[in-house]
Amino acid sequence: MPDLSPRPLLRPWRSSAFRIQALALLVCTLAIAAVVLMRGELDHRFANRTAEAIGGDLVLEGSEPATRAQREQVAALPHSRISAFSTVLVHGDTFVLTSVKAVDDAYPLYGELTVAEQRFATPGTVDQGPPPGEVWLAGPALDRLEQNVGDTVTVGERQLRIGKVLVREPDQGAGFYSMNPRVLMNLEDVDSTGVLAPGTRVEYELRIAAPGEQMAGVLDRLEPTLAPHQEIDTREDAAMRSMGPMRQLSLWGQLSVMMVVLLCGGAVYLAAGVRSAEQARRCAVMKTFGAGRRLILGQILGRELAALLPSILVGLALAGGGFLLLQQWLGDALTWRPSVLTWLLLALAPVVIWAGFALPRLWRLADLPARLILADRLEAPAARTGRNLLGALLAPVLVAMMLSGSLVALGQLLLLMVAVAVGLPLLLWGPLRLADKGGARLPLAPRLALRRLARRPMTTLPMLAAMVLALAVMSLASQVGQQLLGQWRASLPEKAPNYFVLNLFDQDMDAFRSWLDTHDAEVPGFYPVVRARLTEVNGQPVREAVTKEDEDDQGQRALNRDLSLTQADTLPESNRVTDGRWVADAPGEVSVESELAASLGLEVGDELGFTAPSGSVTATVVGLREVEWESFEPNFYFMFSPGTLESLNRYWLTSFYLPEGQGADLPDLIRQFPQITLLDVNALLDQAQDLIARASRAALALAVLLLASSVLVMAAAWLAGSQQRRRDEALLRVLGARSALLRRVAVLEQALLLGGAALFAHLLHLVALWPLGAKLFDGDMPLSWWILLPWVLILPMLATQWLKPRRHSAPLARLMS
Amino acid sequence: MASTPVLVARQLSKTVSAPEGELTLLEHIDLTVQGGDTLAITGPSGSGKSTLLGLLAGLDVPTGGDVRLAGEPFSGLDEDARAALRGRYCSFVFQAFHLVADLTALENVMLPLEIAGADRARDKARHWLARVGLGKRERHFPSQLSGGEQQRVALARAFAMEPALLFADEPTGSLDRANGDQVAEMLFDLNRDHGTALVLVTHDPALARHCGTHHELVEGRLSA
Repeated sequence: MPDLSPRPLLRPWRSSAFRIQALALLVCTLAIAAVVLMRGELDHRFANRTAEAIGGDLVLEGSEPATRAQREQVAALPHSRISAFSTVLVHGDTFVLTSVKAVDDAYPLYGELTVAEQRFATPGTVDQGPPPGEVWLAGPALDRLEQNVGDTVTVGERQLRIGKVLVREPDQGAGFYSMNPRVLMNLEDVDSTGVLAPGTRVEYELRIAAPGEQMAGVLDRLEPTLAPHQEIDTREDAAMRSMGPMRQLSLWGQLSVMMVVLLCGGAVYLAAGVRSAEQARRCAVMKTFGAGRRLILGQILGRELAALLPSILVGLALAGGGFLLLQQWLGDALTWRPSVLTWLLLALAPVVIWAGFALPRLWRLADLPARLILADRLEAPAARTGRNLLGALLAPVLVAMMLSGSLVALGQLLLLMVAVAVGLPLLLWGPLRLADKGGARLPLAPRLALRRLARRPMTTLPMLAAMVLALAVMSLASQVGQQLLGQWRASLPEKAPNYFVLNLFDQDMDAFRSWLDTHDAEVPGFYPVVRARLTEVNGQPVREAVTKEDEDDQGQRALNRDLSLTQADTLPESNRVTDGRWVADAPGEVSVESELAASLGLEVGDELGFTAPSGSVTATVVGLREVEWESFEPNFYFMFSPGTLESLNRYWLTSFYLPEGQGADLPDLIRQFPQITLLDVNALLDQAQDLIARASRAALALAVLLLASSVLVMAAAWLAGSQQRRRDEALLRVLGARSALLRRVAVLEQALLLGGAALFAHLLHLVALWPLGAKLFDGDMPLSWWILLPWVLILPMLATQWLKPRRHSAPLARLMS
Repeated sequence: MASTPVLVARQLSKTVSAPEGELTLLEHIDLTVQGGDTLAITGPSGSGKSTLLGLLAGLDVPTGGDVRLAGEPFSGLDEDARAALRGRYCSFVFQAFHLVADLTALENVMLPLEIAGADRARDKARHWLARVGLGKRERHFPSQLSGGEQQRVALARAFAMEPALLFADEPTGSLDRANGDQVAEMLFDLNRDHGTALVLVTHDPALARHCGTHHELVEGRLSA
């Protein structure tokens, strides 16, 4: 049994190598635990949030109500029936087209409704929809009807009382799929209003709450019953559609933590070599006095691991504390409680890393004959070191299994790890050999420096690979982090438009602009909109020109409906030309959204014909554009050159940012321009901005962990080589070398090591741009100044080496020791 | 006129601070070594043999007395100046060989020549490796050589500089009898052929008997 009394457990802390190992394990524990806990919490919240957004865990949608048989299938589970349709609300001579959601008493299954007792009063939440005889209207509908809570409106053949102002529904979703003001009414009232005549477009939903495992069973039972007009949406499908920055953050989190694990593993491996040398003599003495293998392993390994446990516990405690803060910060009662098994696995992960990277080096002491240890012949044969390193990689594999939720993700992580941990040292081996061969004619100092590095591949390669990885990860993390933040922020600038306006006509424009000016509203631009259908491609009717038959295909959907066409002289900020060019300042040119173009098989040079009620127009495709649909800006599939759409009837679309507190003036705007459609996206914007702020902070926390693990690798690498360096320097001294030569050799060795690491980190950064771009940014990751970061990072290290005061203690003492 | 002695030590002493107070390691050491002399220093463990060797070679500085190397004051110089003087006149052979692990046998022999800026370092090193019978092993690294072979490379490295004085610290201490005898024979042959003075620290009475002068170091003092 290892001695677990406090003193022997404190003793290892005197060793720098042990302290580096302990710190590396702490960082590693913190990183793994933070990501696992954060992912658990976010998954949990996301599942709840997406279930809220679609109104249930499963939603059976159709153009007719769910059948009795279908309702019976879910009778045991909480469920709710919804009908959604458009209708006109009337009060006196005023009427407004609205989007109505008729709900039963079980609505909402998830989340709460935000409502106000008066227009612009402070909103509160309720957990049920309107009772029979009541309607709840969104603010713009009240403004148009010039009514308030307590008044009545006519819905079809019924008079219904306005019960509340509808501010937000939990299932409003992340997109604004309806342009009309929203209305909530009770399902029981629908028949009596008579608004649903045969042929009226209605969407019927049967929403089911089937949390966790139950969902799959319900899905299995309902799927065979589906009629052709019905489909099922699940919380998982919805989550995939709306992850946005969270998907990127989650991916980046997993990649970063694997890098942290590998870097910490590297630091542990290098420091364990030094620890092994430090423990060797004690081990040899124990053997000499008859200690058996078991006793030695217990004394050395048991005590080492026991002394390291506090670091693991501190790492877990820090992660646990951070997790509690995260839960508090995110608010809400829906919190995830990690199971005991999760905590055990989190505690086990750093032990596995230590066992993989450090254990074989320390274990070897028990197998090595005392004679060799005492004769200072501790170096392991190259093959054994290679086996140790390969074996060490099993540890991160286990951690990767824990981190990745799916087998696909595990495969990707493993591929990355093998590429980095095996491929990188192999890749560096060639240049190192070449440098050794090429250095034969160099002057003494650079030759000695080069020899030290090139002829100790089993020390140099892990050290070099770890440093390359650390530098590359730092520069890539900086670029990716900045690009992620840039992208998120660009999609949601501080003054992102919080209102959208449609249906402005030419004659309204002057008065509308003047209203915007008086309210300090910021407007990105005005877009003329023409509703038209794509009818011809290169002179052929479009149905013949486009042969794709998939009904779900984006192109097919585009052909089946009126499209919003616009013209502009400048490319919107959220668009990027991917092929050809942006339109010129002359009529007859069109730029097409790239995914739609691919779906329809359109290419630069094609001639397109559009037909609108007021006429037709043709234009040549001069370029394709990538559109950032998540941006809060108006976006279009077809953008024409100025002058192309002049002959067709058009209205104007714009968005604007109205400072908080000026919303009370909006009813005036609607009264002044009664035909406009005004969309208030403040709630969605707040939600998205909040998400981005949280994601940014999480990305920053990961960067700090990466930096810490990189510094640990550097410290461990320096420590691992320091003893040999001191011996070599002592020998050179004895052979007559002056301080200047020693300093030159030391500085050149560091310069070659750090310079080589920076060079390969630079190349690795360059190579990694493509896969990272594809994974995180849909292929868009340009060169940036961050690629020079490895060079910037090594400069202070080199300067430290150069300026470091050198102490030469009696060299003979070293050689005699 | 008598030639200048290669090494002269006068009233050499060394004390160090220990928890129990000042500890005297060496005192009143007087030595003179002429060119071609062979001098053995023996003594029990802890008698200060290695400390004395360090002081004589300028690897450490005495707390009293002084050392002159080839007539030049040695122990009062700074570390760099001592290293330069040592490089010009002295060579070493250690018990643990102390070859640079990253350099081949040839490169190890070349090392002191290159430090001293000697011409044709490679040719000279080849010559000396051949002299110790390792002409065919010049590309081997120390880890690929036996203990005896490593010590022979160390001998080649020591003699390649054609030093006036060679310090040998237990040169056969890490070798078996056969290899030890071979290395010792080579050491004395080279010493004889090149007129190099030899200061040898050893436990081995047989090796000490090969030397012209034999001093025993007891409790920090030399006895003839």
